[in-house]
Amino acid sequence: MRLLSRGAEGDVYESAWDGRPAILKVRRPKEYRDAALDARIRKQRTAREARMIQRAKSAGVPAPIVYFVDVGRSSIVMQLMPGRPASLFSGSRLVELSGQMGRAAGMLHAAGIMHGDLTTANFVAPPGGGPACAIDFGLSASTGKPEDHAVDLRLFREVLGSAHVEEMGGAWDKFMSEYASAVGGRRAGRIAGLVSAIEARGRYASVV
Amino acid sequence: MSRPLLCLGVESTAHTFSCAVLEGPGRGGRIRVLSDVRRAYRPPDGAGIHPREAARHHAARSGEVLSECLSAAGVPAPGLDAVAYSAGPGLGPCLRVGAVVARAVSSMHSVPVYPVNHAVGHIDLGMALTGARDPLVLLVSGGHTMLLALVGGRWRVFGETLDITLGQLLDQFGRSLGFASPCGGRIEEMASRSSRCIPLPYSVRGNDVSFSGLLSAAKAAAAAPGAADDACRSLQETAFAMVAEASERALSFTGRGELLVAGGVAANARLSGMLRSACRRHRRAFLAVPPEYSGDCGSQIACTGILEASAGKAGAEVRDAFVRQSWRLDGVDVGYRG
Ligand SMILES: Nc1ncnc2c1ncn2[C@@H]1O[C@H](COP(=O)(O)OP(=O)(O)O)[C@@H](O)[C@H]1O
Ligand SMILES: [Mg+2]
Repeated sequence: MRLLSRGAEGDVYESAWDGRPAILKVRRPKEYRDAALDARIRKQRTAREARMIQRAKSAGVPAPIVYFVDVGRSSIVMQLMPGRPASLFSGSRLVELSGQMGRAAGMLHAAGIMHGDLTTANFVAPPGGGPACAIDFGLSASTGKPEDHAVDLRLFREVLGSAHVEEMGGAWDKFMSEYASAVGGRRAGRIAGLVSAIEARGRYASVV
Repeated sequence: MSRPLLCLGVESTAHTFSCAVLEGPGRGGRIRVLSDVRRAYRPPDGAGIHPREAARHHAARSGEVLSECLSAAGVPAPGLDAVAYSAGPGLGPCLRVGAVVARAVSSMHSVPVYPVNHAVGHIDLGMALTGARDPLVLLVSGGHTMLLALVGGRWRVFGETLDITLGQLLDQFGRSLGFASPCGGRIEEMASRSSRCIPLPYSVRGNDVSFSGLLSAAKAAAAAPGAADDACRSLQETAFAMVAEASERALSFTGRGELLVAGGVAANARLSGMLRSACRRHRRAFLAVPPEYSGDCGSQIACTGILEASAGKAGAEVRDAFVRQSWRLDGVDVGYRG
Protein backbone atom coordinates (compact mmCIF):
# COMPACT_ATOMS: atom_id res chain seq x y z
CA MET A 1 0.00 0.00 0.00
CA ARG A 2 1.21 3.45 -0.83
CA LEU A 3 1.46 5.92 2.06
CA LEU A 4 -0.37 9.07 0.97
CA SER A 5 0.18 11.11 4.05
CA ARG A 6 1.55 10.86 7.55
CA GLY A 7 -0.66 13.59 8.89
CA ALA A 8 -1.37 15.09 12.22
CA GLU A 9 -2.78 11.87 13.58
CA GLY A 10 -3.28 9.23 11.00
CA ASP A 11 -1.24 7.28 8.51
CA VAL A 12 -3.27 7.52 5.30
CA TYR A 13 -2.76 4.88 2.56
CA GLU A 14 -4.11 4.59 -0.95
CA SER A 15 -6.24 1.48 -1.11
CA ALA A 16 -9.30 -0.01 -2.81
CA TRP A 17 -12.68 -1.19 -1.62
CA ASP A 18 -14.76 -3.48 -3.75
CA GLY A 19 -12.93 -2.28 -6.84
CA ARG A 20 -13.37 1.39 -6.00
CA PRO A 21 -10.48 3.73 -5.17
CA ALA A 22 -10.34 4.19 -1.41
CA ILE A 23 -8.07 5.36 1.37
CA LEU A 24 -7.21 3.55 4.57
CA LYS A 25 -6.66 5.81 7.58
CA VAL A 26 -5.00 4.21 10.58
CA ARG A 27 -4.46 5.92 13.92
CA ARG A 28 -1.31 4.24 15.17
CA PRO A 29 -0.38 4.20 18.85
CA LYS A 30 1.61 7.20 20.00
CA GLU A 31 4.40 5.86 22.12
CA TYR A 32 4.66 9.04 24.15
CA ARG A 33 1.12 8.78 25.44
CA ASP A 34 0.19 6.71 28.45
CA ALA A 35 -1.04 3.44 26.90
CA ALA A 36 -4.54 3.49 28.39
CA LEU A 37 -5.05 7.14 27.51
CA ASP A 38 -3.75 6.51 24.00
CA ALA A 39 -6.07 3.56 23.36
CA ARG A 40 -9.05 5.51 24.66
CA ILE A 41 -8.35 8.47 22.39
CA ARG A 42 -7.72 6.45 19.25
CA LYS A 43 -10.87 4.35 19.62
CA GLN A 44 -13.02 7.31 20.48
CA ARG A 45 -11.80 9.38 17.54
CA THR A 46 -12.11 6.56 15.04
CA ALA A 47 -15.68 5.80 16.04
CA ARG A 48 -16.53 9.48 16.08
CA GLU A 49 -14.95 10.17 12.71
CA ALA A 50 -16.91 7.39 11.00
CA ARG A 51 -20.18 8.44 12.59
CA MET A 52 -19.78 12.16 11.97
CA ILE A 53 -18.68 11.86 8.33
CA GLN A 54 -21.97 10.10 7.73
CA ARG A 55 -23.92 12.77 9.58
CA ALA A 56 -22.15 15.50 7.63
CA LYS A 57 -23.05 13.77 4.38
CA SER A 58 -26.70 13.57 5.36
CA ALA A 59 -26.60 17.28 6.16
CA GLY A 60 -25.57 17.86 2.53
CA VAL A 61 -21.89 18.63 3.17
CA PRO A 62 -19.57 17.11 0.56
CA ALA A 63 -17.68 14.33 2.38
CA PRO A 64 -16.36 10.83 1.58
CA ILE A 65 -18.45 7.66 1.84
CA VAL A 66 -17.31 5.48 4.75
CA TYR A 67 -16.86 1.90 3.57
CA PHE A 68 -15.55 0.12 6.63
CA VAL A 69 -14.62 0.87 10.26
CA ASP A 70 -12.54 -1.20 12.67
CA VAL A 71 -12.57 0.61 15.99
CA GLY A 72 -10.39 -2.03 17.66
CA ARG A 73 -7.60 -1.32 15.17
CA SER A 74 -8.60 2.31 14.94
CA SER A 75 -8.80 2.19 11.16
CA ILE A 76 -11.30 3.46 8.61
CA VAL A 77 -11.64 2.74 4.91
CA MET A 78 -13.36 5.51 2.97
CA GLN A 79 -13.92 6.84 -0.51
CA LEU A 80 -10.86 8.43 -2.11
CA MET A 81 -11.73 11.99 -2.98
CA PRO A 82 -9.84 13.26 -6.04
CA GLY A 83 -7.71 16.35 -5.58
CA ARG A 84 -5.31 17.90 -3.11
CA PRO A 85 -5.68 19.48 0.32
CA ALA A 86 -6.95 23.07 0.05
CA SER A 87 -3.90 24.17 2.06
CA LEU A 88 -1.78 23.66 -1.07
CA PHE A 89 -3.70 26.25 -3.07
CA SER A 90 -3.12 29.99 -3.13
CA GLY A 91 -4.38 33.20 -4.68
CA SER A 92 -7.89 33.50 -6.09
CA ARG A 93 -8.43 29.74 -6.07
CA LEU A 94 -7.83 29.67 -2.32
CA VAL A 95 -10.25 32.56 -1.84
CA GLU A 96 -12.88 30.69 -3.85
CA LEU A 97 -12.21 27.53 -1.84
CA SER A 98 -12.55 29.55 1.38
CA GLY A 99 -16.09 30.35 0.34
CA GLN A 100 -16.83 26.65 -0.08
CA MET A 101 -15.23 25.87 3.25
CA GLY A 102 -17.32 28.61 4.87
CA ARG A 103 -20.49 27.17 3.36
CA ALA A 104 -19.53 23.67 4.54
CA ALA A 105 -18.80 24.98 8.06
CA GLY A 106 -22.15 26.77 8.12
CA MET A 107 -24.02 23.64 7.03
CA LEU A 108 -22.22 21.54 9.65
CA HIS A 109 -23.02 24.04 12.38
CA ALA A 110 -26.64 24.34 11.28
CA ALA A 111 -26.83 20.55 11.65
CA GLY A 112 -25.36 20.74 15.16
CA ILE A 113 -21.89 19.50 14.23
CA MET A 114 -18.63 21.12 15.25
CA HIS A 115 -15.77 19.96 13.02
CA GLY A 116 -13.07 20.38 15.66
CA ASP A 117 -10.14 20.67 13.23
CA LEU A 118 -11.36 23.15 10.68
CA THR A 119 -8.18 23.86 8.72
CA THR A 120 -7.41 24.18 5.02
CA ALA A 121 -5.56 20.83 5.27
CA ASN A 122 -8.83 19.11 6.09
CA PHE A 123 -10.63 19.86 2.86
CA VAL A 124 -9.80 18.05 -0.36
CA ALA A 125 -10.23 20.27 -3.40
CA PRO A 126 -10.88 18.67 -6.80
CA PRO A 127 -8.34 19.65 -9.48
CA GLY A 128 -10.74 21.10 -12.04
CA GLY A 129 -13.01 23.05 -9.68
CA GLY A 130 -16.11 21.74 -7.97
CA PRO A 131 -16.89 21.68 -4.28
CA ALA A 132 -14.21 21.08 -1.65
CA CYS A 133 -14.80 17.94 0.36
CA ALA A 134 -14.60 17.92 4.17
CA ILE A 135 -12.48 15.22 5.84
CA ASP A 136 -10.85 14.42 9.18
CA PHE A 137 -13.77 14.41 11.62
CA GLY A 138 -11.89 12.76 14.50
CA LEU A 139 -12.16 15.84 16.73
CA SER A 140 -15.74 16.67 15.82
CA ALA A 141 -18.58 16.95 18.31
CA SER A 142 -22.34 17.12 18.39
CA THR A 143 -23.04 20.60 19.65
CA GLY A 144 -25.23 23.55 18.90
CA LYS A 145 -23.44 25.87 21.32
CA PRO A 146 -22.32 29.15 19.71
CA GLU A 147 -19.09 29.03 21.76
CA ASP A 148 -18.17 25.68 20.22
CA HIS A 149 -18.94 26.85 16.72
CA ALA A 150 -16.78 29.91 17.37
CA VAL A 151 -13.85 27.60 18.18
CA ASP A 152 -14.11 26.17 14.64
CA LEU A 153 -14.13 29.61 13.05
CA ARG A 154 -11.32 30.88 15.21
CA LEU A 155 -9.12 27.99 14.16
CA PHE A 156 -9.85 28.60 10.49
CA ARG A 157 -8.96 32.25 10.94
CA GLU A 158 -5.76 31.37 12.78
CA VAL A 159 -4.78 29.15 9.86
CA LEU A 160 -5.45 31.92 7.34
CA GLY A 161 -3.45 34.38 9.44
CA SER A 162 -0.46 32.07 9.72
CA ALA A 163 -0.31 29.80 6.67
CA HIS A 164 -2.13 31.97 4.13
CA VAL A 165 -1.12 35.49 5.11
CA GLU A 166 -1.37 36.82 1.56
CA GLU A 167 -4.98 35.72 1.09
CA MET A 168 -6.05 36.33 4.69
CA GLY A 169 -8.34 39.33 4.12
CA GLY A 170 -10.18 38.17 1.02
CA ALA A 171 -10.37 34.55 2.10
CA TRP A 172 -11.83 35.36 5.52
CA ASP A 173 -14.46 37.70 4.04
CA LYS A 174 -15.46 35.06 1.52
CA PHE A 175 -15.53 32.37 4.20
CA MET A 176 -17.74 34.49 6.45
CA SER A 177 -20.17 35.57 3.75
CA GLU A 178 -20.77 31.96 2.71
CA TYR A 179 -20.95 30.91 6.34
CA ALA A 180 -23.59 33.59 6.93
CA SER A 181 -25.61 32.40 3.96
CA ALA A 182 -25.79 28.95 5.57
CA VAL A 183 -26.53 29.93 9.19
CA GLY A 184 -28.12 33.36 8.75
CA GLY A 185 -26.60 36.81 9.15
CA ARG A 186 -27.54 37.36 12.80
CA ARG A 187 -26.15 34.04 13.94
CA ALA A 188 -22.95 34.57 11.93
CA GLY A 189 -22.47 38.00 13.52
CA ARG A 190 -22.86 36.56 16.99
CA ILE A 191 -20.34 33.78 16.34
CA ALA A 192 -17.86 36.25 14.84
CA GLY A 193 -18.09 38.27 18.08
CA LEU A 194 -17.28 35.18 20.11
CA VAL A 195 -14.27 34.48 17.86
CA SER A 196 -12.76 37.83 18.84
CA ALA A 197 -13.45 37.08 22.51
CA ILE A 198 -11.57 33.77 22.36
CA GLU A 199 -8.68 35.38 20.51
CA ALA A 200 -8.33 37.97 23.23
CA ARG A 201 -8.28 35.30 25.95
CA GLY A 202 -5.50 33.22 24.40
CA ARG A 203 -3.12 35.91 23.24
CA TYR A 204 -3.31 38.16 26.22
CA ALA A 205 -3.18 35.39 28.82
CA SER A 206 -1.71 37.19 31.80
CA VAL A 207 1.53 36.10 33.37
CA VAL A 208 0.09 35.39 36.82
CA MET B 1 31.19 42.49 10.05
CA SER B 2 32.46 44.83 12.75
CA ARG B 3 33.49 43.63 16.19
CA PRO B 4 30.94 41.76 18.31
CA LEU B 5 28.66 43.91 20.49
CA LEU B 6 28.34 43.81 24.26
CA CYS B 7 24.74 43.99 25.38
CA LEU B 8 23.24 44.13 28.86
CA GLY B 9 19.82 42.47 29.16
CA VAL B 10 17.40 43.23 32.00
CA GLU B 11 14.55 40.82 32.68
CA SER B 12 11.71 41.53 35.13
CA THR B 13 8.39 40.35 33.69
CA ALA B 14 7.23 38.21 36.61
CA HIS B 15 9.00 36.20 39.36
CA THR B 16 12.55 36.76 38.21
CA PHE B 17 14.77 39.80 38.21
CA SER B 18 17.85 39.12 36.15
CA CYS B 19 20.69 40.92 34.40
CA ALA B 20 23.01 39.38 31.85
CA VAL B 21 25.79 40.46 29.52
CA LEU B 22 26.05 38.76 26.15
CA GLU B 23 28.62 39.20 23.41
CA GLY B 24 27.94 38.72 19.73
CA PRO B 25 27.46 38.09 16.96
CA GLY B 26 30.90 36.57 16.56
CA ARG B 27 32.07 34.25 13.83
CA GLY B 28 29.14 32.35 12.27
CA GLY B 29 26.73 34.56 14.22
CA ARG B 30 27.77 33.04 17.55
CA ILE B 31 26.43 34.70 20.67
CA ARG B 32 28.17 34.12 24.02
CA VAL B 33 26.77 34.51 27.51
CA LEU B 34 29.39 36.33 29.62
CA SER B 35 27.27 36.52 32.77
CA ASP B 36 23.70 35.93 33.90
CA VAL B 37 22.66 36.78 37.46
CA ARG B 38 19.16 36.13 38.81
CA ARG B 39 17.06 36.60 41.92
CA ALA B 40 13.58 35.07 42.09
CA TYR B 41 10.69 36.36 44.15
CA ARG B 42 9.05 33.49 45.99
CA PRO B 43 5.42 33.97 47.03
CA PRO B 44 4.20 32.30 50.25
CA ASP B 45 3.27 28.59 49.85
CA GLY B 46 -0.11 28.06 48.22
CA ALA B 47 -0.30 31.69 47.05
CA GLY B 48 0.12 33.20 43.61
CA ILE B 49 2.47 35.97 42.63
CA HIS B 50 1.49 39.40 43.92
CA PRO B 51 2.62 41.94 41.32
CA ARG B 52 3.49 44.76 43.74
CA GLU B 53 5.25 42.45 46.19
CA ALA B 54 7.27 40.99 43.33
CA ALA B 55 8.08 44.49 42.06
CA ARG B 56 9.28 45.49 45.54
CA HIS B 57 11.53 42.43 45.59
CA HIS B 58 12.94 43.31 42.16
CA ALA B 59 13.56 46.93 43.09
CA ALA B 60 15.34 45.93 46.29
CA ARG B 61 17.65 43.52 44.43
CA SER B 62 18.18 45.39 41.18
CA GLY B 63 21.35 47.21 42.29
CA GLU B 64 23.21 44.15 43.51
CA VAL B 65 22.10 42.02 40.54
CA LEU B 66 23.30 44.65 38.08
CA SER B 67 26.71 45.15 39.66
CA GLU B 68 27.26 41.42 40.16
CA CYS B 69 26.38 40.83 36.51
CA LEU B 70 28.73 43.51 35.17
CA SER B 71 31.65 42.42 37.33
CA ALA B 72 31.12 38.71 36.52
CA ALA B 73 31.25 39.63 32.82
CA GLY B 74 34.28 41.86 33.38
CA VAL B 75 32.52 44.65 31.51
CA PRO B 76 32.19 48.10 33.06
CA ALA B 77 28.89 49.85 32.25
CA PRO B 78 30.52 52.46 29.95
CA GLY B 79 31.90 49.57 27.86
CA LEU B 80 28.42 48.38 26.85
CA ASP B 81 27.18 48.85 23.28
CA ALA B 82 23.51 48.38 24.08
CA VAL B 83 21.11 47.81 26.94
CA ALA B 84 17.94 45.82 26.37
CA TYR B 85 15.04 45.33 28.75
CA SER B 86 11.94 43.22 28.81
CA ALA B 87 9.14 45.64 27.91
CA GLY B 88 6.30 43.11 27.94
CA PRO B 89 4.14 41.13 28.02
CA GLY B 90 4.16 40.81 31.79
CA LEU B 91 3.11 42.32 35.08
CA GLY B 92 3.13 46.12 34.94
CA PRO B 93 4.78 46.86 38.30
CA CYS B 94 7.50 44.26 37.67
CA LEU B 95 8.17 45.39 34.12
CA ARG B 96 8.59 48.98 35.26
CA VAL B 97 11.47 48.04 37.58
CA GLY B 98 13.44 46.63 34.65
CA ALA B 99 12.62 49.59 32.44
CA VAL B 100 13.86 52.02 35.12
CA VAL B 101 17.16 50.15 35.47
CA ALA B 102 17.65 50.06 31.70
CA ARG B 103 16.85 53.75 31.25
CA ALA B 104 19.25 54.65 34.05
CA VAL B 105 22.13 52.69 32.50
CA SER B 106 21.29 54.12 29.10
CA SER B 107 21.21 57.77 30.07
CA MET B 108 24.10 57.60 32.53
CA HIS B 109 26.49 55.97 30.08
CA SER B 110 24.97 57.07 26.73
CA VAL B 111 24.21 53.50 25.67
CA PRO B 112 21.31 52.92 23.23
CA VAL B 113 18.31 51.25 24.84
CA TYR B 114 16.18 48.48 23.24
CA PRO B 115 12.70 47.49 24.47
CA VAL B 116 12.41 43.74 23.90
CA ASN B 117 9.39 41.47 23.71
CA HIS B 118 9.92 38.86 26.42
CA ALA B 119 8.52 35.98 24.33
CA VAL B 120 10.63 36.89 21.30
CA GLY B 121 13.60 36.86 23.70
CA HIS B 122 12.86 33.25 24.69
CA ILE B 123 12.82 32.27 21.02
CA ASP B 124 15.95 34.23 20.05
CA LEU B 125 18.02 32.83 22.90
CA GLY B 126 16.70 29.33 22.18
CA MET B 127 17.70 29.63 18.54
CA ALA B 128 21.12 31.04 19.41
CA LEU B 129 21.89 28.27 21.92
CA THR B 130 20.58 25.34 19.85
CA GLY B 131 21.55 26.51 16.36
CA ALA B 132 17.95 26.22 15.14
CA ARG B 133 17.47 27.63 11.63
CA ASP B 134 13.78 27.73 10.74
CA PRO B 135 11.98 25.94 13.56
CA LEU B 136 8.45 25.43 14.67
CA VAL B 137 8.69 26.90 18.18
CA LEU B 138 6.76 25.57 21.13
CA LEU B 139 6.80 28.32 23.74
CA VAL B 140 5.66 26.96 27.09
CA SER B 141 5.91 29.19 30.15
CA GLY B 142 3.81 30.90 32.78
CA GLY B 143 2.58 33.44 30.26
CA HIS B 144 2.54 31.47 27.01
CA THR B 145 1.48 28.22 25.43
CA MET B 146 1.95 28.79 21.73
CA LEU B 147 3.19 27.14 18.57
CA LEU B 148 4.94 29.59 16.28
CA ALA B 149 6.75 29.70 12.99
CA LEU B 150 8.36 32.56 11.12
CA VAL B 151 6.42 33.72 8.06
CA GLY B 152 7.15 37.01 6.34
CA GLY B 153 9.26 38.58 9.10
CA ARG B 154 6.88 37.80 11.94
CA TRP B 155 6.28 34.93 14.32
CA ARG B 156 2.87 33.58 13.37
CA VAL B 157 0.70 31.61 15.73
CA PHE B 158 -0.02 28.10 14.46
CA GLY B 159 -1.57 26.88 17.68
CA GLU B 160 -2.14 28.08 21.21
CA THR B 161 -4.13 27.61 24.37
CA LEU B 162 -7.75 28.65 24.22
CA ASP B 163 -7.82 29.46 27.93
CA ILE B 164 -5.04 29.14 30.54
CA THR B 165 -1.39 28.40 29.79
CA LEU B 166 0.45 25.19 30.64
CA GLY B 167 2.38 27.07 33.33
CA GLN B 168 -0.84 28.38 34.84
CA LEU B 169 -2.35 24.90 34.77
CA LEU B 170 0.58 23.48 36.74
CA ASP B 171 0.70 26.41 39.15
CA GLN B 172 -3.02 26.58 39.84
CA PHE B 173 -3.18 22.84 40.36
CA GLY B 174 -0.05 22.85 42.53
CA ARG B 175 -1.29 25.72 44.66
CA SER B 176 -4.54 23.85 45.32
CA LEU B 177 -2.31 21.20 46.92
CA GLY B 178 -0.52 23.91 48.92
CA PHE B 179 2.74 23.93 46.91
CA ALA B 180 4.79 27.08 46.44
CA SER B 181 4.76 28.40 42.88
CA PRO B 182 6.31 27.74 40.44
CA CYS B 183 4.94 24.26 41.12
CA GLY B 184 6.17 22.32 38.06
CA GLY B 185 9.15 20.73 39.81
CA ARG B 186 7.14 19.53 42.80
CA ILE B 187 4.41 18.08 40.56
CA GLU B 188 6.99 16.28 38.46
CA GLU B 189 8.52 14.77 41.60
CA MET B 190 5.16 13.56 42.95
CA ALA B 191 4.13 12.22 39.54
CA SER B 192 7.25 10.04 39.48
CA ARG B 193 5.89 8.14 42.50
CA SER B 194 2.75 7.02 40.66
CA SER B 195 2.18 4.78 37.64
CA ARG B 196 -1.54 5.37 37.24
CA CYS B 197 -3.32 7.55 34.74
CA ILE B 198 -6.80 8.52 35.87
CA PRO B 199 -9.03 9.45 32.90
CA LEU B 200 -9.17 13.27 32.73
CA PRO B 201 -10.54 15.61 30.03
CA TYR B 202 -8.20 15.60 27.02
CA SER B 203 -8.99 18.60 24.88
CA VAL B 204 -7.15 19.15 21.60
CA ARG B 205 -8.86 21.22 18.94
CA GLY B 206 -6.90 21.41 15.74
CA ASN B 207 -3.49 22.72 16.80
CA ASP B 208 -5.02 24.35 19.86
CA VAL B 209 -5.46 23.06 23.38
CA SER B 210 -7.73 23.91 26.26
CA PHE B 211 -6.79 23.22 29.88
CA SER B 212 -9.57 24.63 32.05
CA GLY B 213 -11.69 21.44 32.09
CA LEU B 214 -8.59 19.41 32.87
CA LEU B 215 -7.70 21.73 35.76
CA SER B 216 -11.04 21.34 37.55
CA ALA B 217 -11.14 17.57 37.01
CA ALA B 218 -7.56 17.16 38.26
CA LYS B 219 -8.26 19.23 41.37
CA ALA B 220 -11.30 17.07 42.09
CA ALA B 221 -9.26 13.89 41.60
CA ALA B 222 -6.53 15.14 43.94
CA ALA B 223 -9.04 15.80 46.71
CA ALA B 224 -9.56 12.07 47.39
CA PRO B 225 -7.39 10.84 50.29
CA GLY B 226 -4.00 9.51 49.18
CA ALA B 227 -4.69 10.44 45.56
CA ALA B 228 -2.27 13.36 45.18
CA ASP B 229 0.54 11.39 43.49
CA ASP B 230 -1.86 9.79 41.01
CA ALA B 231 -3.51 13.12 40.29
CA CYS B 232 -0.11 14.74 39.63
CA ARG B 233 0.88 12.00 37.23
CA SER B 234 -2.47 11.98 35.47
CA LEU B 235 -2.41 15.75 35.08
CA GLN B 236 1.10 15.68 33.61
CA GLU B 237 0.42 12.75 31.30
CA THR B 238 -2.78 14.30 29.99
CA ALA B 239 -1.62 17.90 29.64
CA PHE B 240 1.79 17.07 28.14
CA ALA B 241 0.31 14.57 25.68
CA MET B 242 -2.11 17.28 24.55
CA VAL B 243 0.78 19.67 23.96
CA ALA B 244 2.79 16.98 22.19
CA GLU B 245 -0.14 16.16 19.94
CA ALA B 246 -0.77 19.81 19.10
CA SER B 247 2.95 20.16 18.29
CA GLU B 248 2.81 17.11 16.07
CA ARG B 249 -0.20 18.53 14.24
CA ALA B 250 1.51 21.86 13.74
CA LEU B 251 4.70 20.13 12.53
CA SER B 252 2.75 18.26 9.94
CA PHE B 253 0.83 21.38 8.96
CA THR B 254 3.79 23.75 8.68
CA GLY B 255 6.28 21.24 7.32
CA ARG B 256 9.05 22.74 9.46
CA GLY B 257 12.07 20.48 9.93
CA GLU B 258 12.84 21.35 13.56
CA LEU B 259 10.87 21.69 16.76
CA LEU B 260 12.40 24.09 19.28
CA VAL B 261 11.01 24.07 22.82
CA ALA B 262 11.51 27.25 24.84
CA GLY B 263 10.12 28.73 28.04
CA GLY B 264 10.23 27.67 31.69
CA VAL B 265 8.13 24.51 31.30
CA ALA B 266 10.62 23.27 28.67
CA ALA B 267 12.80 22.17 31.59
CA ASN B 268 10.33 19.37 32.41
CA ALA B 269 11.92 16.06 31.44
CA ARG B 270 8.66 14.22 30.83
CA LEU B 271 7.41 16.90 28.47
CA SER B 272 10.62 17.01 26.47
CA GLY B 273 10.67 13.20 26.31
CA MET B 274 7.22 13.23 24.74
CA LEU B 275 8.13 15.94 22.27
CA ARG B 276 11.27 14.08 21.28
CA SER B 277 9.17 11.02 20.54
CA ALA B 278 6.67 13.05 18.50
CA CYS B 279 9.56 14.44 16.42
CA ARG B 280 10.90 10.97 15.80
CA ARG B 281 7.62 9.87 14.20
CA HIS B 282 7.79 12.79 11.80
CA ARG B 283 11.58 12.60 11.34
CA ARG B 284 12.11 16.16 12.52
CA ALA B 285 14.95 17.46 14.66
CA PHE B 286 14.13 18.05 18.31
CA LEU B 287 15.88 21.02 19.91
CA ALA B 288 15.51 21.99 23.55
CA VAL B 289 16.92 25.09 25.20
CA PRO B 290 19.34 23.98 27.95
CA PRO B 291 17.39 23.95 31.24
CA GLU B 292 19.44 26.74 32.81
CA TYR B 293 18.35 29.09 30.01
CA SER B 294 14.78 27.92 29.43
CA GLY B 295 13.30 29.97 32.26
CA ASP B 296 13.14 33.76 32.46
CA CYS B 297 16.60 35.32 32.38
CA GLY B 298 18.48 38.43 31.32
CA SER B 299 20.23 36.45 28.58
CA GLN B 300 17.06 36.12 26.51
CA ILE B 301 16.62 39.88 26.54
CA ALA B 302 20.26 40.65 25.78
CA CYS B 303 20.18 38.15 22.93
CA THR B 304 17.35 39.95 21.15
CA GLY B 305 19.06 43.26 21.89
CA ILE B 306 22.20 42.04 20.14
CA LEU B 307 20.25 40.82 17.11
CA GLU B 308 18.43 44.14 16.76
CA ALA B 309 21.46 46.33 17.32
CA SER B 310 23.69 44.34 14.99
CA ALA B 311 21.02 44.48 12.27
CA GLY B 312 21.38 48.24 12.43
CA LYS B 313 18.21 49.09 14.32
CA ALA B 314 18.55 52.30 16.33
CA GLY B 315 17.83 52.30 20.03
CA ALA B 316 14.63 53.82 21.40
CA GLU B 317 14.45 57.38 22.71
CA VAL B 318 14.64 57.17 26.48
CA ARG B 319 11.16 58.70 26.74
CA ASP B 320 9.83 55.89 24.49
CA ALA B 321 11.41 53.19 26.60
CA PHE B 322 8.18 52.29 28.38
CA VAL B 323 6.44 49.00 29.12
CA ARG B 324 3.57 47.22 27.34
CA GLN B 325 1.80 44.76 29.60
CA SER B 326 -0.01 42.92 26.79
CA TRP B 327 2.41 43.10 23.92
CA ARG B 328 1.46 40.52 21.33
CA LEU B 329 4.25 38.35 20.09
CA ASP B 330 2.82 38.20 16.58
CA GLY B 331 2.79 42.00 16.44
CA VAL B 332 6.58 42.25 16.68
CA ASP B 333 8.51 42.96 13.51
CA VAL B 334 11.55 40.66 13.63
CA GLY B 335 13.15 42.11 10.52
CA TYR B 336 16.61 41.04 11.76
CA ARG B 337 15.66 37.48 10.80
CA GLY B 338 15.62 38.54 7.13
N1 LIG C 1 -11.04 10.57 1.74
C1 LIG C 1 -9.89 11.08 1.32
N2 LIG C 1 -9.68 11.29 0.01
C2 LIG C 1 -8.52 11.80 -0.44
N3 LIG C 1 -7.49 12.16 0.35
C3 LIG C 1 -7.63 11.99 1.67
C4 LIG C 1 -8.85 11.46 2.22
N4 LIG C 1 -8.70 11.41 3.55
C5 LIG C 1 -7.46 11.88 3.82
N5 LIG C 1 -6.82 12.24 2.70
C6 LIG C 1 -5.45 12.80 2.60
O1 LIG C 1 -4.70 12.46 3.75
C7 LIG C 1 -4.35 13.61 4.49
C8 LIG C 1 -4.49 13.33 5.98
O2 LIG C 1 -5.80 12.89 6.27
P1 LIG C 1 -6.58 13.34 7.56
O3 LIG C 1 -7.86 12.60 7.62
O4 LIG C 1 -6.65 14.82 7.58
O5 LIG C 1 -5.63 12.78 8.70
P2 LIG C 1 -4.93 13.48 9.94
O6 LIG C 1 -5.87 13.28 11.07
O7 LIG C 1 -3.67 12.76 10.11
O8 LIG C 1 -4.75 14.93 9.62
C9 LIG C 1 -5.28 14.70 3.99
O9 LIG C 1 -4.70 15.97 4.11
C10 LIG C 1 -5.49 14.31 2.55
O10 LIG C 1 -4.42 14.76 1.76
MG1 LIG D 1 -5.99 16.35 8.90
